[in-house]
Amino acid sequence: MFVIQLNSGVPIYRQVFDQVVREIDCGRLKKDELLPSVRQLATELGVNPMTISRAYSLLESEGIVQRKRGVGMLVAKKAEKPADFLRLPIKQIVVDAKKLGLTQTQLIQMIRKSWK
Amino acid sequence: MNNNVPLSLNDLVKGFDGADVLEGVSLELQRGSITGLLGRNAAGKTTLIRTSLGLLKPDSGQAKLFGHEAWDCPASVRRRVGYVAQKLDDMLWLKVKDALALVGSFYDTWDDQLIENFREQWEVPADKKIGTLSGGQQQMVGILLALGHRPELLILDEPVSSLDPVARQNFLRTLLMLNDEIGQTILFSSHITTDIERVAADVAILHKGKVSYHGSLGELKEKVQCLFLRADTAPASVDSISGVISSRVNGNRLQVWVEDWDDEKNQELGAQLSDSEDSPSILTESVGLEELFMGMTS
Repeated sequence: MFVIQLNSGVPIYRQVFDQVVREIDCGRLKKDELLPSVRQLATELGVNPMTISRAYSLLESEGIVQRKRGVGMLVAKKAEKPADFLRLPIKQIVVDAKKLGLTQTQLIQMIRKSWK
Repeated sequence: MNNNVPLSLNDLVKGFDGADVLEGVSLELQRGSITGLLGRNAAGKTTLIRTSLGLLKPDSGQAKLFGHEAWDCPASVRRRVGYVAQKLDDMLWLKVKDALALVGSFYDTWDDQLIENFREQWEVPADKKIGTLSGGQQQMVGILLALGHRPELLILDEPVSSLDPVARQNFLRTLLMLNDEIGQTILFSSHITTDIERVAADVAILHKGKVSYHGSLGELKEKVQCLFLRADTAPASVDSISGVISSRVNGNRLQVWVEDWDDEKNQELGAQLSDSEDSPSILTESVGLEELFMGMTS
């Protein structure tokens, strides 16, 4: 379910946070569904458990998941705006386009082309 | 005296032949943390590690292991520390299993089963002489020798430099497992920044004889950002930019590393550089550890 980009400017705990939010927003993680345990996910991704636990704490403090004792982390909310999960990739494309010196119009043309 | 801090360095100075390598290093490792030690070649990483272990005597300042002076530390404390020697010169004529048994016999806490499991996982042959093994395999023997007594603090100087990618991943997973299971504190130096990103929650950057940053890697990524300024509108000097760390020319952009950047500062600078919507003179980007490291050590 999760893919981690090493050497990205986005901290790994942030990447995990964003991906949980995205999975919820696009309906792949449903309300009351159980997230993998910190240890399980850390082992799977081969990253420091502290990093995962930081992501989970942040999800919990934002009310996105709920910690249920003896059970684990449950998804606490439903998808609100299904298209929200596109926000981050779009932001990245815009940054890349600007770096290449493309204008807004040029980028929109490119999106139109690949739409077909 | 705090016996719970696995390693604490306080204003440590160490030089060779009149030239200081460490010029006042301070660093305190939290119990159970995994810290990646980064620094350019010849920045003094090995000197820092060897002084921390009490293998070198500090010129001034202090290096303490579990609250005891590292240079003069009782055997009972030394046993709580594991260190991977870079070379196994004294043991080349020994078979792997004999070397493990020999070193194991010094410790009453030696865990044969653990070491046997790792040896098999890492595919290190037990019956070959160490001298006949490849560089990578020898490095793994060194790691086995350092892990067997289940030290509370493990210090590794470039532990993965000779390992192939598969062996490296296996080894890194082992580190995570040990940290998770027995709360081992780990300090390791490496030039492979992606390994540090994966395994270390904390980083320490050694630059110009001092630890210039020690803390959470996630926070560092949020604190330090890169600005890419269009070369034609970039200011002649970056010194006026708030929080500037360093800069370099990158294609047709001037790349500037800054800390604590925000929208307000961005607008302010944008106004100075006659920013426009379609061709902005500033782009900000968060960057990975490798880029951060370049900016913070140049």
